[in-house]
Amino acid sequence: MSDNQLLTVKNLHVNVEDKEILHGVDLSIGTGETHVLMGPNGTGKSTLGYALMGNPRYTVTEGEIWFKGQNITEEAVDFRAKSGMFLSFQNPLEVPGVTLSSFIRSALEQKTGKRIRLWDFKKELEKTMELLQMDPSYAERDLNVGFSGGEKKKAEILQLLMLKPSLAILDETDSGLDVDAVRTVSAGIEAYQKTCDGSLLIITHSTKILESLSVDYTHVMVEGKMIKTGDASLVDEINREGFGRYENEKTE
Amino acid sequence: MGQIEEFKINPLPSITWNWLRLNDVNVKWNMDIGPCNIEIKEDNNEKAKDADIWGDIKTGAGEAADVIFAGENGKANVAALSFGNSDNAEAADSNSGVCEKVVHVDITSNKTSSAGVLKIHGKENSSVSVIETFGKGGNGSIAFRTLVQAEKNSRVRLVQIFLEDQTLLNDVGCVCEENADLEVLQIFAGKGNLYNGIRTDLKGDKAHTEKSIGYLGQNKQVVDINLVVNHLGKKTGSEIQVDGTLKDEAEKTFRGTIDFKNGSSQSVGAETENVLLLGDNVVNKTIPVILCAEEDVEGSHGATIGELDEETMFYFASRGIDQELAEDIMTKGKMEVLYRKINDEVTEKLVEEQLAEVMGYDREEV
Amino acid sequence: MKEKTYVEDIDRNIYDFKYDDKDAYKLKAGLTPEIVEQLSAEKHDPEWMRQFRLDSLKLYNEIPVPDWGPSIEGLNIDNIVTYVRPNTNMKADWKDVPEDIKNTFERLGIPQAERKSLAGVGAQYDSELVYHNVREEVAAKGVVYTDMESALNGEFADMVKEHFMKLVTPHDHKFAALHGAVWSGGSFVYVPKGVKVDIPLQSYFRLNAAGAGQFEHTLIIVDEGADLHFIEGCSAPKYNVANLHAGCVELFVGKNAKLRYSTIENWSKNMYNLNTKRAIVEEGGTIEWVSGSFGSHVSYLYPMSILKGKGSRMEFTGVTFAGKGQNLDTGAKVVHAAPDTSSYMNTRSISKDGGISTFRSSVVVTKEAENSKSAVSCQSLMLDSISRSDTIPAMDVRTRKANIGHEAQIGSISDEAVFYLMSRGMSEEDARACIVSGFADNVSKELPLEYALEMNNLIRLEMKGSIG
Repeated sequence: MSDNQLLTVKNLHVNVEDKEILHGVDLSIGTGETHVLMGPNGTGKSTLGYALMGNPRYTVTEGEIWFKGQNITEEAVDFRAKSGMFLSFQNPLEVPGVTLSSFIRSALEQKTGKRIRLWDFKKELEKTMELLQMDPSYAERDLNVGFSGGEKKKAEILQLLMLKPSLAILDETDSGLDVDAVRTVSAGIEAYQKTCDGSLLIITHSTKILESLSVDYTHVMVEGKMIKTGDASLVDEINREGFGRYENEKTE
Repeated sequence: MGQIEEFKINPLPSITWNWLRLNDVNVKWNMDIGPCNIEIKEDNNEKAKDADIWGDIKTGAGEAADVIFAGENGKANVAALSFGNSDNAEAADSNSGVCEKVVHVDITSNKTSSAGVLKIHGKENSSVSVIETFGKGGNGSIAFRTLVQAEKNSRVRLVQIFLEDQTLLNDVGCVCEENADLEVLQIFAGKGNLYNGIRTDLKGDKAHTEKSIGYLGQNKQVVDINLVVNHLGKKTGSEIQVDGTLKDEAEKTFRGTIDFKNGSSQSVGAETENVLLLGDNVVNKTIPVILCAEEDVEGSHGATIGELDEETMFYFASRGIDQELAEDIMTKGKMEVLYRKINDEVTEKLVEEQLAEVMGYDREEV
Repeated sequence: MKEKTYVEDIDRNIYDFKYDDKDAYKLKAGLTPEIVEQLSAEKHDPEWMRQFRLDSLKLYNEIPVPDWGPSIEGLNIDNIVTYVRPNTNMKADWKDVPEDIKNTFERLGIPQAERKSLAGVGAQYDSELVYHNVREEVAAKGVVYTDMESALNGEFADMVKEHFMKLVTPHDHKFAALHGAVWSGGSFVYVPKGVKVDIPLQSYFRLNAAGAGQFEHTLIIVDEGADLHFIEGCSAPKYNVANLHAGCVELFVGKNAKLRYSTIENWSKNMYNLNTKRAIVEEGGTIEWVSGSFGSHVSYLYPMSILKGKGSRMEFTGVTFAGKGQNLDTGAKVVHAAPDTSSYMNTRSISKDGGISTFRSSVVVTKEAENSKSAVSCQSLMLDSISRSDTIPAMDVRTRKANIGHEAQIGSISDEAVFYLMSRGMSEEDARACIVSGFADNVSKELPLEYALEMNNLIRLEMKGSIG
């Protein structure tokens, strides 16, 4: 394995409520690489995202997760986050009484272990919100409370850009967004690729969001298994032909 | 030390199994009572009201507590506020969101045991907001009774901020006449114990009340609440929202009763309670009662009690925030939602500072 | 104002027939140590039971009547005959049961149900069982289903002594003490380890004598990994004097065992139903209560579940229908005393014609009960404004690691729903009856078909005031 290796998943089996969803998944992501995970609905793509982040509802029954040279299979969620892993949620939490701004500041302070100067923080937050075409008033609104679907997705990308993790797992970040919003979110992801030399695992079952991004690897998951790995061209192929071929292969 | 007497206060209107110890609460009170300090900060030019309109108003703590406030010697400090008809019709518009007249009242103890009564008379078409602050420090327990008479078409807002370090018996009784609107907002962030009774009689048709209560119980604090809303008039409405957090060995009892009396047709009453349990030795008792003697009404109640759920914890953790900080953020958030509603910058600041102190977080903005 | 049709007290004549009591033996009315001694002698009690009765009587005289709940002023225990023995011994064949008693149960449909869908039947007439039978294949598995008296003196005497009124003790409340003093009749069930009884057992309690009390004791022990469904039915004809039912049900659910206890209670409306039911559940075990309360003048009924073992669970599904002259105070109690326990209550109550229904519950979660879950949902329907419906649920939670939810709703039949059904050609009366039946389907869905039909029929009767 090269020094470049950021995440290595070996033979990962994951159960949800005693039912096995992932049946031995392997995956390697290097620093600065962008991976796309595609597959039909209900195939276990989000399960992989949750398992990597360590959601306690998802039990790893076999296999290992290595991150930055460390076996994190048994580590708690906040440990993984502090080590530089980030998961964007399809339906992020709403927290009344806690503003978006103060939430991000708390998370940053936990990560760095020191107080952050409010003035510097506000500056950077404003700049980033501008990039994401978010109304600056959202900074002082309660986290995700009364946000539209698009605003919630943008708030997740805002956190990504502020927290600057080494690996971002984006779970269906493009679903339910209109064309303009997809473009803005893509721009945010691009900024992350460039400014943080960040690695990405983009979970999606559509390809809209990938149009403006440079993709290094594409993986196809069907029924809890990685069926195929290829380069960016695989995205175009699936775009044209769908998953039917892979699902048939599975049944044969 | 004066004479200590024991009372059963905060009675549940419809009692249940005695072994649950929910039907009322025992309090011990020092009967060597003196007047507490009541400082009314704004002028109130209206003439004080007729003495006899107050006699009928029943309170949440119940008649057993009367002796503390009236007693034979009448040692409690009694003050009154009366608000008349506004010349400015616009201000009385309940949609404006801001009450026309705001009065701040600071209440502090004077000796080991002191008591006071404040009578608020919202006359027809008046619109008023009274902010009572039970200050920190002081040197003894306080018993305080607030009586509210909300006349036809009046809008009364009662904000009670409890910051005291010692025991407080807060007793409220309200009567709402036709189309009167009463809002009560209570925030408890003190270090002492709180016995809190609030009763509201929605007497007139279309009378309406909204109650928001927030508390943070820590250490060995006792919070005992008895909230009663009686729907008497037709088309009356009540919304009750109670949000709290319990830590350490804090003990809380919440009795919430919505009573649809016969004749209160087309009335609606709703009550929700959320309790965040964060201590290993907390005691949380809840009894949300709906009594109904009228067919055409809608009553509902919902409660959730427990620690932060898994999904919430996971979200926080995925941002690198550990359980302890997540709990602090949620606790503060719950309170903040409430104190933002005070709509009075000075008081909001006061609550924020107090929370920072009791929760021990650093609110310095670098 | 909406136009409402008020219905007079319903015609309950399928339950209301009565026979003269040709009982062989009847104690004098009232309650004294002498009467209790006589009863004990008559029943050939072992000595410990005689003493137990006398001790209970003492407690009965000491404990005050409850200061909460419906009034029981109309009940004067001095006028209640505590023991009425029917003029027969217990039979195992309906052919041998005296004609009038047999007719009673025929009209209630018990022998028919036994043939069709029951694993065993016990039928109690006044104070004693008159019929008891259990299917051979069920008995062959080692399942014991017998009357309490036989159990007390037979092979299972020690087991009975070990469990009898240990769960509901005479100290519990006044009427538990009364039960301890004068109990008679009832059933004893033992399901051995791992035995699953596929079809239900049923006991039916019929109180025929005027001014009498019924005090049957039901003791069920479901051993490790076993599974049982027990059905209880009760009815009585109406008299002008007060009758009293102070039964007691004790259920012991073993490790990983499951017991479902279903009751359709349809006592006549002169009955004071002061019944006590309780279950204790060991690790991984399940108790399910299904309860329909339709009869009685006054009811106090709150089956209690003690979740003693780790991972044990309870479910309570209930419906209460309070009509004219009825004050039915019903609900459930649960104590979570171990980790990973769960409870689920789902109740509906209906008030009509001046009837009062009260839902009363308590959920207690002890400090030991980490990771426990409880959800209570109760809905009430008011059919007019001369009735009452109260909801008094209590919660006492002492661990942070709990997830406790509660919701309650109260309201009336929506005019839109009635309008919709009428627009499909239903009469208003039928539409309202249909909506009420639908409202109570949480319980009917849980009952075996014949019982669900009986229950819906009862609702229809209550709603229409005449039989079809």
